[in-house]
Amino acid sequence: MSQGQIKFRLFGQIRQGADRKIGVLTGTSDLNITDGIKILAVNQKRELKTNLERWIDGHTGPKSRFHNFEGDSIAPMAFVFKAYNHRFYGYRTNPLPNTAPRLQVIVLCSHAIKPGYETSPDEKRFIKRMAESIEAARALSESFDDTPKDTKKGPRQWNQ
Amino acid sequence: MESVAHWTQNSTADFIHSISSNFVAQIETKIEEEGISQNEIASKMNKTSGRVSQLLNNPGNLSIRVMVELARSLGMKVSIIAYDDKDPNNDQGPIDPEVFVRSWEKLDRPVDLFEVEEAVLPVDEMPMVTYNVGYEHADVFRQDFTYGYVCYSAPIRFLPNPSVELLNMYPAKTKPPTQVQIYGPGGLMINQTPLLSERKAA
Repeated sequence: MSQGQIKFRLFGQIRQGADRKIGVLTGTSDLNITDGIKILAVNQKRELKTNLERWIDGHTGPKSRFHNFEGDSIAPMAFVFKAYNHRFYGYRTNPLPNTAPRLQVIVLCSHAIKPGYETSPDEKRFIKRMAESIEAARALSESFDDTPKDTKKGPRQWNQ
Repeated sequence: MESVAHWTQNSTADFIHSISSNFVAQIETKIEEEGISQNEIASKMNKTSGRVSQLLNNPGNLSIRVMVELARSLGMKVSIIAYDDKDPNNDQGPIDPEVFVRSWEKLDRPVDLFEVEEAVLPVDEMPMVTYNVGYEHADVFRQDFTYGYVCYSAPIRFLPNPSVELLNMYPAKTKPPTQVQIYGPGGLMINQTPLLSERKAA
């Protein structure tokens, strides 16, 4: 698939918050979150959704559930959610810096079955590439309209 | 947008997993914060470390007995509560237990319903008076239903110019102030915050 087909959608069936949201990038074979979710066992899916909602609700841990990569030399914007031996990687961004400066969105990009204790540098480089990708930014901007309220005709709405 | 049911609405087992897993996360957080080893917990629970690990990794199967044993091994307690969050269709899923814990802590950990009645949550509108620095106290007025309009003096802390922050505004279990007046040298009032009701309306 070409880069132009990258799409963003909010993660379904979980509680999305006003200040924190989680979504998924799809459209290329590298963006394998959907495939990763498909192979999860029932309890693993439950654990993933619980952990996604914990972050949305404002938790910062425990690290056994999710954590950021603050201070990482390759991808300080990266974030990982865990569900047993599965890892769902993404990056944290704010697609509405003008109209919702407090908003944090985690954009999930990559799934891996835990290869070792440390996240591989290749994984982190991929996350960094997606965080800086113009196509990913375009996909996000299609879901989040950052036009200030007073320049639009109607009330602001999330375009999901 | 079409409403999509929350995942915990799919089955009771989903709902149980969500609340049990959040309980385990509370336990894991305590373990992380206090640097307690799994062996110590196992020893207090009279179980092997492997068994404790198994319990923590399978939250959907936790019994109330095991939940209590886990919490007690860390000096914690467990309460089971039912609540009405005005979401009868469960579109939003269960409320995170930490919301209840932090609300309770904000009320100064009341132990019975009388203490809950006496306690009042601090309001968001913490009066942050932005005025010139150089004064050492503020007179804080509080509407009190029993005693009428009461006033007490509160020290202020100087923040980066030109803000000052009122300290000790909310002694435990008192109502928030309704009006704050800042006095300068010679008793001259130099700033007065609007009443809370006016601020809310604004």
